[in-house]
Amino acid sequence: MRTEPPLLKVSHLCTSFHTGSEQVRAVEDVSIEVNSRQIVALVGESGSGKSVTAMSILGLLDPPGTIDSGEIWLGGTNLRECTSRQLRKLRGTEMAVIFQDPMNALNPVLSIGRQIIETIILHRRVSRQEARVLAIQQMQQAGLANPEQLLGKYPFQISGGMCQRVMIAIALVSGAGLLIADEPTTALDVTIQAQILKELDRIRWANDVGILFITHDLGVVAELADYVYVMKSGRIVESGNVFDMFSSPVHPYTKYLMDCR
Amino acid sequence: MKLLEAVSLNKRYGMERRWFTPGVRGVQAVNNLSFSLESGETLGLVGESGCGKSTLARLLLGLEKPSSGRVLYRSEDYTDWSFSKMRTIRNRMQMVFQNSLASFNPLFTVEQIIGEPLRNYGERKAQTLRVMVEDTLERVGLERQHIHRYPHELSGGQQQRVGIARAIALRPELIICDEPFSSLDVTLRKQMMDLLQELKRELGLSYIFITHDLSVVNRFCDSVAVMYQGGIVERQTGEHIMQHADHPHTRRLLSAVPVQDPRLRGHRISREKEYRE
Repeated sequence: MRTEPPLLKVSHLCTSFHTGSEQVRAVEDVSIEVNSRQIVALVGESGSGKSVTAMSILGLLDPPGTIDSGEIWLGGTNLRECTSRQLRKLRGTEMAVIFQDPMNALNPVLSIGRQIIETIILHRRVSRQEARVLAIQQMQQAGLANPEQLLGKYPFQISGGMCQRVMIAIALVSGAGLLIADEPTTALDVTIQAQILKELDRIRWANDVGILFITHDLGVVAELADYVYVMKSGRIVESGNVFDMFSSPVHPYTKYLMDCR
Repeated sequence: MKLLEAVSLNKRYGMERRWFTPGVRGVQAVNNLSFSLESGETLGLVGESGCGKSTLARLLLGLEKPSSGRVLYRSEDYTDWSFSKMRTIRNRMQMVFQNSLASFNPLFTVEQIIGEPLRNYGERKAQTLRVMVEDTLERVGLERQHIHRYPHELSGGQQQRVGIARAIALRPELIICDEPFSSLDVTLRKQMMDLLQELKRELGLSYIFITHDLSVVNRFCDSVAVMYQGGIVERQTGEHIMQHADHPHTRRLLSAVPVQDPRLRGHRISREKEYRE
């Protein structure tokens, strides 16, 4: 299994923000690898550059931020050389993202069905009816009961946990191989969090997805991840197998994080 | 001495059927709930979202009137008190909100935010106000330079500290914290817990601590009450609840807490095996 090339390979990524005369380095020399069917956690406190790393990979950095150097390979494609048009296409078909706050990530004035069907039509050559059937299938896979009824509902009518499942359904609908989850459970309560984590664990085996899981909660990491990168002020200070890291953390910052629980 | 007591509280929402909402069904947010809080005690209120924790907090503070039942503060029934009469005990009970930023007036500086309750309770002299605000800021670990900042200029942790500072400005006896740390990351959460402990020691506070995360309460709370569908189903001491949860709902909440060590996870291995086969 180790012979296949990594799904995502980021090497020596540097990202900075230019503000007036100043230049702020948010990500410094970060290298990450994600394999298929692997859950890789990126851990760090707020402001450590986790999300900026994810946005750099997705090509979603907002204007003052630029990638200064480094390479990002998604399978055989170099994302740094892609045009924004190509990136946009890749974002649907090869990589997908779910965000921290599912309530705000969905469009409040469009029904859930419309948002899922729209995504399917954008990425596949199917009719509206076929897309509807696919949407229902995908929603069932994401663990939503009663998908037909849900299609006509609006995001504010359903709970936060369900919104997150809808987000997962939208993310997976076009068969993306890489899923970037940016703190997907922070806004949810513990029981819902446990369900969503289980769901993510299930879909990676069912759909052959590699997941880059961004979080600040080491409990979630212990529950789910295979491999961990610990990030502090833009740098990766420690990385390793999740079992090794929890039994013998090396870097003082990792130890400090573990004491905080 | 009982600081706060609730006797068979009920709260129903959506009772009034009006012209445009004929089909609205009522929701029983708090259902025949009784409990009491001793002076100096820290009570954790745990439950999943929608079980009525926040409604209970609003009832206890008199922000909403219960459909039936009584609330007592030091054996004094304040259920039917008017708004102006409530002011006489409001300064003894304060609240820290989940999203502090949203609870601040965005056009107020930190000084005005913390000074507002003091001004409401009769402190008019600018100099004394300034001294009191600075003293309060110091207690929550903020510096004098923060006094002229606006809330949006502060970091998440600092905002939460200002929220706590506003709550302790009047030197209350009871603070109700409604999921105060759910928007903070782990390192900040630890700092905030330590801060609350310290304030409790210094000022002799009692806390009602609302959260959905059982892993937080066992170290912090003297006793833990588990809520389910508007009622308290179980009440135990902090250390006790992790080992001896009786109610099935409590056990379900406990099993949802992420494991502390990857070697303890159970459900994973079988699924991987399934895939390999």
